[in-house]
Order: sequence, then structure tokens, then C-alpha cells
Amino acid sequence: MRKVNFDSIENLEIPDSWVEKALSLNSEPKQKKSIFTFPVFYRNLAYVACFIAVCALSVALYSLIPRGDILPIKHPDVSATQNNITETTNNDETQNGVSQKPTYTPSENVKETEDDTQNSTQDPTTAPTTKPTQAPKPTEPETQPDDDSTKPNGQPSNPSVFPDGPDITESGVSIGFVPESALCGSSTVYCYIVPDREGVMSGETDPTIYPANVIYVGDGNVIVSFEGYKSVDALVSDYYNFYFTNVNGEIIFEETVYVTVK
Amino acid sequence: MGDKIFAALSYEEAINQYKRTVASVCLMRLKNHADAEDCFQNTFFKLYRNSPDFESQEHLKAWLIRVAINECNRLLRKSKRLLPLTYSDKETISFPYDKCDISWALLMLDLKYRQVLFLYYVEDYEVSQIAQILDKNENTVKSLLRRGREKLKNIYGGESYE
Repeated sequence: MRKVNFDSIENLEIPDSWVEKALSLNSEPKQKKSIFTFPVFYRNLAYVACFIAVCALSVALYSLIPRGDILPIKHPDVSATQNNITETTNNDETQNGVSQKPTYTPSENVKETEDDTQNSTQDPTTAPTTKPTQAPKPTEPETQPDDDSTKPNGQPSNPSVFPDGPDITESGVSIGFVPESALCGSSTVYCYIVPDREGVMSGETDPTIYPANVIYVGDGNVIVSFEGYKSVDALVSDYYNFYFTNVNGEIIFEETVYVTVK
Repeated sequence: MGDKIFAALSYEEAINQYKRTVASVCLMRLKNHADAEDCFQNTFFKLYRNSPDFESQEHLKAWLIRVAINECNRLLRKSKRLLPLTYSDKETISFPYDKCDISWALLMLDLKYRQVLFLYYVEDYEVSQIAQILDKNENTVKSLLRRGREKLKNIYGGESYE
């Protein structure tokens, strides 16, 4: 039972300035704080965004950096390109009962030359099917038999008398002035060489194909390596057509070079 | 105005609803307008800055009273270290001398009796609630109430009130 009268306290008049000052806390500092404070969520989000941007930039730069000059070394191991070539070139040979081995041996050479003298006029397109028009030209049977009779193995008796050219060694042949754009566009480049029948007489009568490896060393220079192939033993000093093909067997560049066998 | 909510009340609504309570606590305790205004502003500033969670409006009211008392105590401790130039510089609170209103007599009491009587008679708090707000034992609060009434009777000169 509270009978005491405290009306003057209960009805105390509060100056308006007190309330106005208290209410001013609600608006003024808040706008100032929003200028200098950055929500933690957005700050962390900014860090993540920066990290992703750096990663994307590094990936983009990596894709723009030019790769090394050395092309991947591929041993064709009678790959699709080579199979097409050997099949087409040996179709005629099989018909004549000649071995399908792409390697060139002196004993086979005798048989092939005899057959080719007969078949050269009938089927001049013994070049690779990948590029028939660019393939080695058919030999001239009128002039070949004389040389074959003197050099049944298809090798000149004195190769060193031929003009100077890149030497065929065990490491291969260095071919110059190969357009960089021609080879760098392809990830894998194969090569095969075919003796040029219109060049110096070499005793060859058939366009034997020699598979090889390609090592691009830059500045338009290519090393054609015969490592892994025995065909290098059968090469003679002569003009050769170097055909560079891609995986699909399409010729992307060709060059006729006189090479010297030492 | 504000987006902060205190026991379903906005900041502005909380001020308008409890401004009289906080002001009374400060005036009863400090007995001058200037100091009471400082404590009044500090109390609501702490409410805005801390933004505590309140279960109910009664909880909010008790929290405001407790903070106001703390602010007054802090100011009193601070004023003890200061030497006032003249006592008349402070505008003291005064109530009209009225036989029906004993507010003026309440100001004559000591602080410990004054705050208990104020919470009990003006704010209508129970003894247990006063003990909780002031962080004192209930029996202590009862003793303070009994002695405060006796002193108030002596000052007022009337009969004892329950």
C-alpha cells in the first residue's frame, strides 16, 4: 500500500534538448562510420576476387608465352602416315612379288629396279598418296638401266665427288631455311625423304621412302634424324625431296636438298 | 530513423518511453540538472552503442536504471576529486513545497535511502527487483526502506506511511 505522493517526480519535465541530443546519436555518427568502415564480408570477397583475377591472369599469360623451339620427337614406327605411304608405294611391288619392306637394301634394290623399269611407265604415281602432285617424279627408264648395270646396289662408287651439301651422319641431316610457320603450326611433324630422280644420277630407279624424325632447332633449321631406322645405311649422296607431314599425312612443307653421304 | 530495435522498441521509442525514468534516477541521485543531463546522455549513448538484447521492455527499463545509476556513481566519484569553485554554480533541483507531495523531502535523504525509496515508490519496483537492480541483498533493501521511511517521516513531519 503505497500512499506516498511523488507526483512532482513522476511528472518531471524533461528538457527537449536532452532528448534531441540523445536522438542525434542515432543518425550522425552512422553516416560517418559508413565512409571509413568496409564490411568484413565484402573485404573478404574482394580478397577472393583478387586471387581469382591473379590466377586467371597467370593462366592467360602462360598461354601467351611462346613455347620452346624443340618439336616433340616422334618415332613414326610405321604410323598412319607411313603406312599410307608404304602401302601405296608397295602396291605395285606386291603385285610383282617384291618385298613390302620400306627399308632399302641392295639385294632388294636389284629386283625393284628391274620391276620399276617396267612399271614406271605404267604407274608413274608411286609417290605417297598424301600428296600425289608433290610426290617424287617418276624416273626416266631410258637412262636408268645403264647406271643400274654399273652400280647394281644403287650407290655411287665415289659419293664424295658430288657437290657439297648437308652431310648425312648418324645424327641425321641438318636442313636449313624451313619456314618456322610451316612446322610450328603442327604439334607433331613427321618426315620422309625420297630421292629426286631429276637430280644427279644415283642409280636409284624407284622412289624409295625413308622415314625419319624431325627435330626443329629454330631459325629455320631442322635436323632430320634417322635414328631408329636402318634406312640411313642405304642412302647415297643425291638430291632428296624432304617431305614434312602432319599426323594426318598431309604434306605441310617440302624441300629438295642435295645431301652427301660420308 | 534508426534501425536498431530494443525489446520491440526503436531507439527513438525507447527514449520517449523511458526518458522520464532515466532523468528521475539521475536527478534524484545527483540533484542538479547539469550532471543529470550528462548521465542521461551517457545512459542512452551506451544503449545505442552496446545494443544489448533484451528479453522484454521490463528488462530494458531495469537495464537503463542500472546504467543510469552507474553513470551517476561514476560522476560522483569523479566529482569527489574535484574542488568546486562555488557551490552556487550548480543549478540544483528543487521541488515545490507541498504537503501532498513529498518529493522535496526525498531529496533531503541520504543517497542510499533516496534511491531505494525512489525505486520503490516512484518506479513501483518490488523489493526483490530493487535488490537485483542495485545488486544488494533483499533484506538490505528492506532495511533501507524501513529506515528511509522513518527518516522521511522525520523530515516531512507527518505520520508514517506504508
